[in-house]
Amino acid sequence: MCGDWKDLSHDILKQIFASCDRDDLTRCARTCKNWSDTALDDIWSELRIEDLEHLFAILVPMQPLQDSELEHVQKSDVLTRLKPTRRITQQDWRRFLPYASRVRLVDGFYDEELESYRMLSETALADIMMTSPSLGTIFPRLRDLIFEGDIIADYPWLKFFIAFLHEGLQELYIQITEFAPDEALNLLEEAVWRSPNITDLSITSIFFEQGDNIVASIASSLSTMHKLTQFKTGSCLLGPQILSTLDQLPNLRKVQFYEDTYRQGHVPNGVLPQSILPDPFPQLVDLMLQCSLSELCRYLSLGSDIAPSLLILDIDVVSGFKPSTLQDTLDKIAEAFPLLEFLEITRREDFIAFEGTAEDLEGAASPLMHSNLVPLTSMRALKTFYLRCDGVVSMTNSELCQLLSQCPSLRRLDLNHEPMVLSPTDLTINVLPMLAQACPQLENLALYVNTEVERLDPASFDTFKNLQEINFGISVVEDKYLITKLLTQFLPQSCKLVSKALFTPKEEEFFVNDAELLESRGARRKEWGQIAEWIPVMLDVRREAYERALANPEEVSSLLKVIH
Amino acid sequence: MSTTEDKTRKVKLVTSDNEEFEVDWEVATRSVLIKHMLEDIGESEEQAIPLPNVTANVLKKVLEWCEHHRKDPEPAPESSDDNRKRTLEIGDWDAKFIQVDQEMLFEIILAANYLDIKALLDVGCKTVANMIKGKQPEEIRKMFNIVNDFTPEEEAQIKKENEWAEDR
Repeated sequence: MCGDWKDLSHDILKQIFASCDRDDLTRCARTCKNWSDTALDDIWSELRIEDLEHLFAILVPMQPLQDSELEHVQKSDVLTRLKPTRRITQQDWRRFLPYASRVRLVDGFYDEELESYRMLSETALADIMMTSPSLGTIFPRLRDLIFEGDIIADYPWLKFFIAFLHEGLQELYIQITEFAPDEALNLLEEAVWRSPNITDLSITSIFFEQGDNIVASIASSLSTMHKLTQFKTGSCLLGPQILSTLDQLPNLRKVQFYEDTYRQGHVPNGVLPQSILPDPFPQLVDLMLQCSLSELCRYLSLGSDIAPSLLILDIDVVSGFKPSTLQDTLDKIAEAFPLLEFLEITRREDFIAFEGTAEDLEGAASPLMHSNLVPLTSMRALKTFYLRCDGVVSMTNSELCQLLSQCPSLRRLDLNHEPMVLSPTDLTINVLPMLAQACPQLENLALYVNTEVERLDPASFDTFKNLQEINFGISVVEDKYLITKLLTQFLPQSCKLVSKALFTPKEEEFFVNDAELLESRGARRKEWGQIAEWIPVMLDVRREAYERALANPEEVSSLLKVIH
Repeated sequence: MSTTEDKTRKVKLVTSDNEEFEVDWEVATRSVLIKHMLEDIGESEEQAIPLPNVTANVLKKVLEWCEHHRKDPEPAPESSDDNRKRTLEIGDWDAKFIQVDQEMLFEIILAANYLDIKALLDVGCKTVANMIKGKQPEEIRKMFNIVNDFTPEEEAQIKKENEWAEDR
């Protein structure tokens, strides 16, 4: 029996069409009714504002407004206003709604490159909204709305977008610009009551300074969005007012204040609330913040039940810190978040606006010792720990092994493999065979080590079975051959030696601020890159030697000499 | 639990036409469906797993794929719709593997879907997408033996309403 392609399920067709061009989709839509349904879903599911004219053309033929009709509106070079050529009938709606109900996302990105926009005239929009049989919404299944504040001024976009708000909307992205802040804030206010089921909210703002009234307006809208599970915004909105509003939203699981850096002129606030209400952030699992470590310490000391379910904590540290401040913070984190699985502490040098305490700044270059990291051993669920800061991590090989042997859940570890301030470290590359024994479960490892060793410690037969990536950042390469030999002895074949820079060249330039130093950092990475190229070659040579030996057992003894 | 002892474990599968296959645990569990079934029945190793929706000649082909991909890492759990890629790339081995007739391709897609083998379903779907590429509706119908259930008017109307999407 030959299978019937015509009756393929919607899910399979959807996956086939996911690899098709729009061009092909429009033809698939005409092969048969079953294929048509899935193909049209794909074509119409995500629309940009310039696509909307095609949708409205299905409802009723449109024509541009005459000059005489343009008296009461602002004229525009880019925008052509359209009006229906005739009255809209019930039959028009029947044709239109199947299309309109396929729309899941409207992307209000205003493309300046685009030379013409053809939009409904204000009257036409009002008429359509009035006669729509789907109760005042145009897209009954719209889930996701993106509003970019760059939108051209001479059209009432806000009205247009408000017409898209409805109860089913789940995701809203709003960009506030200096150009039209009130429009964006109004849309948010409208969304609060028209779309009470929004779960994901993103607000970006292109501002140099965040006006108080803007923060207050956002906070007031947020305070009633009880269904919210995710909130994402730029660091310039991070401050006591927003945080104190968010901490009372009962379903909030993820909060991200992502870093807007100095390059865009954004200055993160970095100040956390002075007081907390009982049981803040009851459901929060994922938090990303910008603040100094001492500010975080202070905040965590305000109460004992802040975000008890937290699994992921990602802090961009905005000020230098001395080793003991890190130790205190780790202690507080271990105490506050018993379930924590992911912890990243990255020092953002570009948040130059912040000054820590004089003591902290002075101590920022000091090496971090074993004792400073001991609190990690009380984070029993911790799987990932990334530390990127100024000073090097310096401890003996056995101290590190001892520390990590008490972190049984740890899978991914970065102990500042690209320090900003270079000073000697006691950690040597010989720590690797020891670690393979003490911490065999590691999957990713990044360390700053001393490779100037007299000889390699006799490698044990233990290998990092699970290791996928290893990275020595800007560690000095003393002897490439020796290092390659060591690495091939106990790294699993699938493990990659990574030498990619952590920060972008532009960021690094800002951090390091010294051409010579910058060059030497790049040169060291290059050397590690070369070792990464040697490793597979050496493994091949070794495998060939093995194979030869298997064919000729007499060579075994000489082969063993080659390996060791 | 999947531990090292699973590596030596064998799994029995029975097809709709009552043929029995014995394969390595690692090969069989490329199928998420079989993996879950094995977890359900636990350690009672002798029990054969019935696959009433798959025939022997199709299962043979599917297992050939699983055998070749037995060491592949588990796919990332979150491959959401929004970062879906409109790419038609298929690996060399897979491309050769999927050079089969229309009927077998159809059966492989259905089996991969039923057995929940995402990577194989992906190969199958991309192959179909490749075949569709640049073809007119009539050619597509002919290729896949599809009966046109549109009236000429309906077809013309869909063409008109979706023309804008063609040149994007």
